[in-house]
Amino acid sequence: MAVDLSEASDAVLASRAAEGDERAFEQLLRRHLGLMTAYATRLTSSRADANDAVQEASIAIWRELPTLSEPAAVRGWMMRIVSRKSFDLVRSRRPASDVDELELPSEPGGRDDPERAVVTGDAMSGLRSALRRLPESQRQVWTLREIGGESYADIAETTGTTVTAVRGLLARARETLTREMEAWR
Amino acid sequence: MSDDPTRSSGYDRDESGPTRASSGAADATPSPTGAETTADATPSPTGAETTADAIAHGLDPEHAAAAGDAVTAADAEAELDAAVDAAPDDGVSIERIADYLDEGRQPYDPLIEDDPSALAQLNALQRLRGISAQLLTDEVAATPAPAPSWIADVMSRVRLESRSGREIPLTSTHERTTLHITEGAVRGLIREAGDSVDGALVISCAIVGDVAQPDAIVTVDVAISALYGVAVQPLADEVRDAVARHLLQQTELVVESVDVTVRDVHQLDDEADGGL
Repeated sequence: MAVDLSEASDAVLASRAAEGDERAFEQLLRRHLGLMTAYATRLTSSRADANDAVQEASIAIWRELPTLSEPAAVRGWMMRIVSRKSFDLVRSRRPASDVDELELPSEPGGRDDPERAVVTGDAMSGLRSALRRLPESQRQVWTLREIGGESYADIAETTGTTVTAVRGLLARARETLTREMEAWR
Repeated sequence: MSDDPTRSSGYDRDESGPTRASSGAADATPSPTGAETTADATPSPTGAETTADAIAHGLDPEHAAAAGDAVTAADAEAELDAAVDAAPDDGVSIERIADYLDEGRQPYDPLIEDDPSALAQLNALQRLRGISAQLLTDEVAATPAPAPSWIADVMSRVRLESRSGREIPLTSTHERTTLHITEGAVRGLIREAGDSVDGALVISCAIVGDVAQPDAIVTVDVAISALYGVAVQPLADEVRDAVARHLLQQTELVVESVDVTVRDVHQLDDEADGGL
């Protein structure tokens, strides 16, 4: 009988998958699929594109797992691959598609989640619409940093620009968002 | 400021090799020099851009020489960014405040902590971060589960790229045929054997030795995680025995030793929420 991997840590699953354990990989993928898809949806502004990007990312993750030196950090590493693949996809679609229309839910579920009380629905929808109004380059860099927690160097590489430019875009996005935030009380 | 078209276009046009190559010079440029000069010469917020622009151009020859490269528009733009960020309209730049927040407000920076407007900006950034953290969590909850076929597609592509590793020869009963078992398959056996011991979970394993040679002597390294509360020594012994037995029964490997390392301890969670 196969051992139950559903409670194994990310680090164990990553090590096993790196050595060819497909079941461990599937477990790892299922565990983080929601996060990967939500992140890709933010970056590509489309659910369909997000599914494609995450599929490509999943194959890349499987392929590159043997090179991961820090198995415990696999989640952040997977997210970076998701953002890379999302950008590849968005770039390949340019300039035909207009990605400014976000297909994101305006009222996501989980209203009775106690943690929600910390952030009011007004603040959340305020942030959503403020993000929609940001110039695309600022929105993407901000998302990579604040949602994905990626380093300036990784963001520069993913977006094909310099660290200095990334910091500049971030500063402007933060200025705009904190200014608009005053209205979200 | 954020409406400036030349700068909000950001990376959209920045994919060429030369631009990337020259970016090192821009990144390495310390902004303090720019900051001082700008602060001296900037009487009003609007003046900052012009001054920064002048600085960017003034610094160009120096950087061109340092980089041994033509100065591109991106360089000038990056210089402009650095100068503008170092000298914003209200004292401490938002970038510096954000970096300070990233560092957990350590070490104490009186320029930020003692300046009411900087402190207000810091609190605003912190609040924004709280809301941002919740944003993706909400969206994950609202993300529909993938179709079963989606996972199946990914997994079938994964299987096409299975990690088989080295080929290990097996004795053939027919002279003209050669038989092999892959290293990947042997690793699978080792994992299965180790996992079969109650309280053990295999983390990784390696077959050390020249397995491509028939009858080569090999050693097997197995790293396991032990269930919390289980005596580690007997567990390691059991895993060693199980692995040696399986390899003896199912392969022709001549295993000199099986080395088991307990590398981690895990707990079972009734909620099965994915933690360890």
